Amino acid sequence: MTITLAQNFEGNAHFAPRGPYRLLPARMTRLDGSRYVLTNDVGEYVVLGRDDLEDYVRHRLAPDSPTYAALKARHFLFDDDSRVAIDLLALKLRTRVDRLAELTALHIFVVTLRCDHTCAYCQVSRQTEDRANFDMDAVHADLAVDMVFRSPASLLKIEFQGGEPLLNFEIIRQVVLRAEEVNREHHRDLALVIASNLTHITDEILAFCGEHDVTFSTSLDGPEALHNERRALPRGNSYKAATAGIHRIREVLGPYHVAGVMTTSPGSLTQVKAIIDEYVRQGFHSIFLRSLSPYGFAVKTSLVRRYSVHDWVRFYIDGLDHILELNRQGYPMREEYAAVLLQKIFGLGGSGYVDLQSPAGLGIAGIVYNYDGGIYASDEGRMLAEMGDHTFRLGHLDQDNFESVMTNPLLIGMLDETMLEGVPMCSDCAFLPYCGADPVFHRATQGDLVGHKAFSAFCHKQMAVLRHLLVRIEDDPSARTIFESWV
Amino acid sequence: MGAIRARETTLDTRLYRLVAVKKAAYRMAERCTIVLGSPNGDDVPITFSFPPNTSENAAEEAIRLFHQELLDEELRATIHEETDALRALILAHTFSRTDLVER
Repeated sequence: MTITLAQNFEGNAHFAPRGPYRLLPARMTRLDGSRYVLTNDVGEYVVLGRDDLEDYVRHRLAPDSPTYAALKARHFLFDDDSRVAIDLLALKLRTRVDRLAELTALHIFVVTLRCDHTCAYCQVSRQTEDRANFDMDAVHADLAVDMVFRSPASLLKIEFQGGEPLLNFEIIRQVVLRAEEVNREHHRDLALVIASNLTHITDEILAFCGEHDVTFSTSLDGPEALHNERRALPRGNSYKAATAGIHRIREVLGPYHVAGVMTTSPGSLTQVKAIIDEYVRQGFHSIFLRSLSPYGFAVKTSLVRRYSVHDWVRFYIDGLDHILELNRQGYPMREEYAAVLLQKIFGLGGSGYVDLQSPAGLGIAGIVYNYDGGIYASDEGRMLAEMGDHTFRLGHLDQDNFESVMTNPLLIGMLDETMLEGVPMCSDCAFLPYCGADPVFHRATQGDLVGHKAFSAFCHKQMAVLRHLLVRIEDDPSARTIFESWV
Repeated sequence: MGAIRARETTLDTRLYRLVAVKKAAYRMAERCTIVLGSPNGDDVPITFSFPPNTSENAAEEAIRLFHQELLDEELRATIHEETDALRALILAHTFSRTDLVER
């Protein structure tokens, strides 16, 4: 019997579109009372009313309608004139996920757990100043630097954290000098940052930082009374130390060598304008409005339960409105959390922000070398460890190297679990390309890495902020222009 | 009005796919637990079980939201059904042209 090629293949009619167009993969979520947002895997979006959405899905859109044109331009449908859509989507997706190959860019050195402050919301369970056994030693510091340069990432960032890292400045100096020495061979783009309360900053430290291009980030919670209310400094004034430090850094190192972050305490909720105005008064052009996380003293003091996610979202939206108004009045000011999300919305390459990745940034976006030589998958992971939960501990500098850590089945398992594309509710959510996994938060609040998103404060926060941003982008042209300038 | 603990209804599986019903039920977990019974022909019995002290208004609102979610899930299922193979094709194109393994 002769078998012809045609017998093994379906005829052309089998592949013909069911209507004038075919759908491309899309996720949809309600935006507000009357509109839906549709996104695709590369982060492009379209906002539609319910009727248009139904027409799109049921192949009833007229090819000459504006909705058809918008959906076609952003790769939500294709027809005979746009068969290249699949190749284009693959190209864009490749660009978006390319950063996965650039592991691990952020290396956090917890050089000491000692701190001179006694902040009620401290999430790292700091120790009192005089306990030298909470400092990183020279051997572990060298081993950690060796591990930094095993990462294939072309951009490497070393961030010094604590406690208060300047209390162990000798180890910072050692790490910086050794990293520079090793980098003469590796030629990476190396960034060095100290996260400090600036109480212990000296001329000698500033001179060293100037010579080695080290920058600072510091906590500034708002006006003096609010800042000092939560950031207690026995025998001192935390606000005065922080603001004096900020001015001194700018004087010696330059205007852009210090960034500020704020943490929302219950007392902040009614003062968002005053907080932002304080940043303006201190000459900042950016602010990161952060909510409290459920770790360390924030849990022990029950502070984290004193406001809800809904309270924080109201605070955040009021703050964003004020920041937009400042921009309209001519003062350039950026909110950093919105900037991360907007980069994901407008930018083809997404964002490298370690706390909003899928899979989670655990180990592959950032890694932590603790004061005792322990290696952790994230900063929040080491905070959880101080509370007795060692889920995110990947090994120890005495026994492990970069390869053993990165191939640790524990890490691979955690990355597998935190791919949003396989997480219930997230896999169908239109905000997936703009969001990320927060396994440490869900471990702390629900006991597993994924959590049930219907009960997740993290999910509620993400949905509320993303909805607000998209509505502003769609309905407020001046806000859209300002947002675009932040990306 | 007094508290309400449970409500029962049925859904016609000729109108709603079972996968859509299950996904909509999962989404409602913060407001109520939804238990699906064994299908009787085309009908699936549904029991909404509410936390203690749920008012009748809150229960009605939860049921309304469930039906809204169900319509959304039906649309999602339609999109998924039509585009699943295309998504696999796009992913294949994406990763076939990278050198991730060599790196």
